[in-house]
Amino acid sequence: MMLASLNRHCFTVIILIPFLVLGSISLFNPALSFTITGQNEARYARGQLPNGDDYNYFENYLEINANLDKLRFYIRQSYLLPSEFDGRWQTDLNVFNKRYIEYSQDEFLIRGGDFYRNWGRGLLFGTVEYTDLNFDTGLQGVLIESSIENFEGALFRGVETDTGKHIQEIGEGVRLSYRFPHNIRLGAAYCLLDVVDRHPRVNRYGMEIETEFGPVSLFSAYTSDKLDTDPTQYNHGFYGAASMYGSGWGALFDYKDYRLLTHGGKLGRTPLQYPPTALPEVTMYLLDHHPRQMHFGDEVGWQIEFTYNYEYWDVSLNVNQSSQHDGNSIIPKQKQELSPYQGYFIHVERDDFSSKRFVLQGGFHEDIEFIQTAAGGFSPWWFKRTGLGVIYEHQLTDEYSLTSDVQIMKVEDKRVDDSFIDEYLSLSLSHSPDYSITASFEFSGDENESGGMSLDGSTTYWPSGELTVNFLERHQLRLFIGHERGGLRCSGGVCRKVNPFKGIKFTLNSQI
Amino acid sequence: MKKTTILSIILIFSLFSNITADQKSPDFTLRNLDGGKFKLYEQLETNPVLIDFWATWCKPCIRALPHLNRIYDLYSEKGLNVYAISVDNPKSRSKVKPFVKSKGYKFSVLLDSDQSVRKLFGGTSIPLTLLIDQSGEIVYRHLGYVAGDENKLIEEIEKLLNVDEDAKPDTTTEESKE
Repeated sequence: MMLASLNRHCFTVIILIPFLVLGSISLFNPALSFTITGQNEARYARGQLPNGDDYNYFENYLEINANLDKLRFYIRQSYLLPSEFDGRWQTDLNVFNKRYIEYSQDEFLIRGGDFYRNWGRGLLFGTVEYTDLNFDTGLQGVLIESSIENFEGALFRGVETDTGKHIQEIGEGVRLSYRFPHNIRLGAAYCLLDVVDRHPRVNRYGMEIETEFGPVSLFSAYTSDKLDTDPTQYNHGFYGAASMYGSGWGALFDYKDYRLLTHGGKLGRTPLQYPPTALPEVTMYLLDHHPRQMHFGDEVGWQIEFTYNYEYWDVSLNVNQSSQHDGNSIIPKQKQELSPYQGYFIHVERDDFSSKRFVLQGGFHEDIEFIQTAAGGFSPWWFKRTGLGVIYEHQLTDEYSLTSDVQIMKVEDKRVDDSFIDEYLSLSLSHSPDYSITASFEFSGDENESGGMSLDGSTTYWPSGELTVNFLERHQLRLFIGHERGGLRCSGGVCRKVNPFKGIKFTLNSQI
Repeated sequence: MKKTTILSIILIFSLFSNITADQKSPDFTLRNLDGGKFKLYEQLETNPVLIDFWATWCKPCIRALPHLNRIYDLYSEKGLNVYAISVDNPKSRSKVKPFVKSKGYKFSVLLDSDQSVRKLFGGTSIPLTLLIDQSGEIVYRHLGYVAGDENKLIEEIEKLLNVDEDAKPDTTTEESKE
């Protein structure tokens, strides 16, 4: 016990030494630039789940960056009493769960500690952190990067442990890229991955190409994972993007074809990868409640997005389709057994940049997922959702503005051949730059919804209020009171089920 | 006891962050949309810098960009460098160029796909606006965007650039004059 305590204190001292050294050097040599930046974020909630169980959490994240000339040092201290996500407790103030030390010159960087990087738009290698989803694939190890004229090189070795401590991945990799004349960039990467207790070692080979012809940009990346024990078995993925623009308009075409190695089925996450989803992530509040769950192990799809701007008008249109593969087909098929998804979304906005802004949004998406039944089989979960929304913002004075957001969505549940209506209303009053107050009401005719309050026996509603205050330039306080609807929340193909909640939430963010 | 300790740390930390009113920005290097390199302190040798962290999926950020463009129009000739730093990650990276070009925005756009520069300023929340003077001090910062936030920013820019009352540009739009 004493030894453990001694070790912890030694660790704290070791962590603090670089700060003291950097600070001291800057004192003796004022010509060297010494800066400290960072933030502290405290999150607190006290409330209940629909079953009446208490749901309380208190988290505090302190991050500090110290920079002395070409040296950089970072630490993050997390205090969980407990965590919002899985009830983890971390009450030891000596635990610095993220840290790195970095030295960089104009064309060279070396870092020891935690790092996040994406190669080939995340398809060749990718690590990412979403604290609000409790998702973190960051590596701890060594990263070296160099960039000399048209040449770029990088190599790393590191270990990643997921937040649930279930999966540990060890990775090492190298990437080279060269920019040729005519703005053509070619890159290649190799990674060796060891997913402890899950897979044999994996050899990942990948390449990317990027080029531009005037207003046209093209990008594509291909990756292939081969198991060390069985080189005949391999997983692979391709991503391509083409975009172009003209005066007042822009267009994008995204294509994905993934048969990637995953942990735990086609819906599982992929080891040290963060591939593009080729789906719109933010559309309307009600539609965004029901995102596509990516099947990284078996997914093909595309999206087209077109934007047009004329004077105060702004129009954007998105069309997308995804499904599992139909044999060797390279286009998505809308067959029920392939978990297909298709979406259409239009956004029309008029903003005169002085006092009034008006937005009309409309969207449709159809999604079929297979859910496991109690009997052990699979049943299709088939929904069609059609939504319409209007946002109106009026700037009352230089400081005050009022925003209303009204949305309605028809949901057709094909499992039971039934339909219901979801509605959302919100009204915000903002005083720039100091505070904003928002009142929101969400209604649903879905009888299977849990949480919220009952309106007439068949409609559930979730009333809530939110206050955001900015003070002393560096602090932001957010207070939520009321009922929050649960559901799936996704970002970049990473999803987490959010519990319905009633109570208060409080967040204080302070920047230094 | 533990809660008291942590709350004390938060209070001390908050206090500390306001005592150090003038905070120096760390230096950083990023690439722009055409692959060219940007180094903060090289830019500061000539002019103060306004940077705005944004992403194509962030609605308040998109709302703020036309105002950033107007600030570019009004103050770039008076000696302000304006940069919008996109933190779009791999899933939305392809949208950045057609989005910016189709809108005709004139400020430079830098790419911070793994948010390593955004994290240097603490956290990952956006939009974050920073006004940095030529000595590297962050003279104004603001997290979030609601209508009207640009007025306070313009006030700070004019203070930094020492714009005389008579030489102040007309910051109202054509429609609001009617």
